[in-house]
Amino acid sequence: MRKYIFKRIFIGIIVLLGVITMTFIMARAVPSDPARKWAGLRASPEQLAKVEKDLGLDKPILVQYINYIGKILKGNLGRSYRTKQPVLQEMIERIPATLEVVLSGFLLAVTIGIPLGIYSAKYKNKMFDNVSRFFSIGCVSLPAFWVALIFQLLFYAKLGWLPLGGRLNIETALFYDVPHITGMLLLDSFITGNFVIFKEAFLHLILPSITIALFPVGLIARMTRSALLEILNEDYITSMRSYGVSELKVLWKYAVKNSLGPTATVVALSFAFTMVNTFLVEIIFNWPGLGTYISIAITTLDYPVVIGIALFSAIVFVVVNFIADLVIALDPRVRL
Amino acid sequence: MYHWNKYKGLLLLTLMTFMFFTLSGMAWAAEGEVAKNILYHATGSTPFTNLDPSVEWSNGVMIMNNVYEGLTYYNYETGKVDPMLAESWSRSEDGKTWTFKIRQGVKFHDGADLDAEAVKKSIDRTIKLGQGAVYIWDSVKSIEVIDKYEVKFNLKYSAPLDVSTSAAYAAFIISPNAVEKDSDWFNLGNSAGTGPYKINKAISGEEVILEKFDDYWKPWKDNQYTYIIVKKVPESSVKRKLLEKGEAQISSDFSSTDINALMTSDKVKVIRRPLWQTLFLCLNTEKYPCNNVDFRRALSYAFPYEETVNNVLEGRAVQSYGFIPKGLWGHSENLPQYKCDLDKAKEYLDKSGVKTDGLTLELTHGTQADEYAIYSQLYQLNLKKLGINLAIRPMTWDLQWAKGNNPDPNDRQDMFLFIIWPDYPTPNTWFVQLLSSTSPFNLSYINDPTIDAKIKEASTLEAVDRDKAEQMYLDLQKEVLDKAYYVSLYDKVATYVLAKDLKGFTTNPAYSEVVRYFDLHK
Repeated sequence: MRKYIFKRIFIGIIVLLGVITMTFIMARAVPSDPARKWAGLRASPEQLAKVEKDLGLDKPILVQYINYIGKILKGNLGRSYRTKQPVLQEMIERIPATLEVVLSGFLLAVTIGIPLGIYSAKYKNKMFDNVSRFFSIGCVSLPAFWVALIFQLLFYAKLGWLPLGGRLNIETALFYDVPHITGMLLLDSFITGNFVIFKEAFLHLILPSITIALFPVGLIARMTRSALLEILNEDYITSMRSYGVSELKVLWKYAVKNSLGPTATVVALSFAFTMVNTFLVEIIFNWPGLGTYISIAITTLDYPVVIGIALFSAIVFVVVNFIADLVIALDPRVRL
Repeated sequence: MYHWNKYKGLLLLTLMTFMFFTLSGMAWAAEGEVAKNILYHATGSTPFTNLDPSVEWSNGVMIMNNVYEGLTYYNYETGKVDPMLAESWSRSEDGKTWTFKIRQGVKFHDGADLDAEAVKKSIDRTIKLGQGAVYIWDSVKSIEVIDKYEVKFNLKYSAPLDVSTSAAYAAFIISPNAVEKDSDWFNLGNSAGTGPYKINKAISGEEVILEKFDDYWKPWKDNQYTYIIVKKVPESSVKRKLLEKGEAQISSDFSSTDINALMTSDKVKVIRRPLWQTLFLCLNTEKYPCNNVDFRRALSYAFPYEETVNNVLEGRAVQSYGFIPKGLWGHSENLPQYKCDLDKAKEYLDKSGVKTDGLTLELTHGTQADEYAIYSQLYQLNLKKLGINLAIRPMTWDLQWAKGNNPDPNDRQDMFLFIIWPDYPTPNTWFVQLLSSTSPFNLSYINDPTIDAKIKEASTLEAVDRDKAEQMYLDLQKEVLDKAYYVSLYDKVATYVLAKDLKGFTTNPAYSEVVRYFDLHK
């Protein structure tokens, strides 16, 4: 096990280095003018020359690359050319917002998707299974931004039940002490007992979480169904039934546990993907997370941010994938 | 025991649900009344890139001009500058010495008093940092404090310094206590101006909350706003819903669909205001066939001006007369104006001798507005009738810029769709940026020492003989129009959507995108 862990960490570092290098090269291959982006569109040649020197852009590419790797190792991701703020600080400010909405979405997806998959398998080819299939395919097929707009139209504009977007109402954010421990408002307000903020944060989280949950709920339901169907055909399941063990117990205590392996991998990868692809949902719901930050950085060729986000994405994928593999390895049938 | 285990989960869930609703109910009851004098301005773009008033040269103009003030303020109605932090000023005969009398009794947000020393320190700081629109102080040789409320500027050459001090950028006076601070201090949300609002909170790239400055030197009325929330809301349909529901009071930059819907709504009012933002097609005069003056005239007569303004932009623009937009001196509706006339275009095309067989021109435009592509396609249709193919390439600014700066003129685009606006209210901006041989924005690549000399002479005359300077600018515009270096398209008109009960809304094209929150009330 220890050998496996060290091997995975080593491979992870190679992957991260590869991602940084490729992104660094691609960012410089695309025509851009970072000095002018920093100094301003109408900066004078003297101002541009000074900025190029300050940012090290006048050095050879290889020197820039080595300096950049050196800075990363010290935890310095550079400054955004657009905002001039430290990239790491800006990412840290935004990650909790994205984590909150993605975690909520996935909690919802798992809570609905797994039971849905289980009962689809149990009632295979019956009405429940057919409806569940229709629902799952619908969830996976519907574009998230369209769903988000429909939700806003229905629940905000027509019914007035839920807020349009953002994390809190503007008055609440202005007049109440917003707690900041983890950056996830729902958790922080619960910990500090601030139930005014808790209620606001909860209401604001509903629509974006449901939108985020749509794709994974369909995926999880179908994966769980497929995996469970294989298990339900196993001999030991037939034996337990013939011994008179209740169907509920056979399903939940024995069959489900053994079928969760593939689902866990899919959930993990899907989570990692969603963490860095929430920009459409965040834009529609005006959610101040990583998604909008990434989308602006890409369209403005703000390449310190682009590289910082690429590094973060790679870390998330490597870590989540690793955790998923370890969880699967708890099954004694699996050898690492 | 078995029954207890069986229902244990259900009981726990019930208890948690009960606790949630009880606590939420308490939270609901605890909300109470909150102050309602909050204004929510939903903007389509980032409210600021930098909150340092000496450095910011971008979107932050809207925040800066509510938190900080300059010595003077440009009056769009009269075309002259009005007193702001300076009560009065005078200049020497030769325009190289300017003396300002500073307003007394003005406080900065940190409690410090405004005086001549604070003015000198602010402008010295801006010049020393050398960032942003610092070029507005290029003429300044030295600044002297004459007495507590009098400051003198000694210039290297004659310049309209009263106009420079009214600039939308880089002209702000900051507290002497903040002069030594760096940009990071300002970006934490600290403010050190004299403006009616100070910064309560600033979240980079997202939101700024402004709070009323009780000691502002102009008197407050009860119905003015205490808090202003300027928040980025990039999606047009979301801004529309906020306004229709009454959650936001001001917004702009809507899609055509949303604007048309809002115009029929009884909850909001739609207002159009002129901007000093002008659009040009820059013709590559260093590349065949745009190096041919008659060919350029043909291109100018082929553009669909009326269709663009009336059908594509639907009132969000007016066709340009020359370079200078309406409302700024140097503008004249007596200047020649090209109209779409394909017969005339054909006439000049024939006169140019340019063969159109296999001729394809390349036009690049930005991706930030849908209309660029639409009227480019209309232009493409017109050019096709003349036998000219037009390849339209939407590009991000960086790619357009890189192409336009290619060392080989033959690898540059033939037409570059470009927008220009001034940093301070003088026609000089257009001439320097578009015609000066040393300007990076001279994207028609004009290299004419005579024009350079005329621009320089006109700019030095601005301070001492504005009429003569204006005539020079008008003559230059006639010359440039005749040579068709640029196709002058239109002056933009901004569309704002406001809450129905919002009063006092004004804009000033000299301060593009700035809403003066102090003027607003219910």
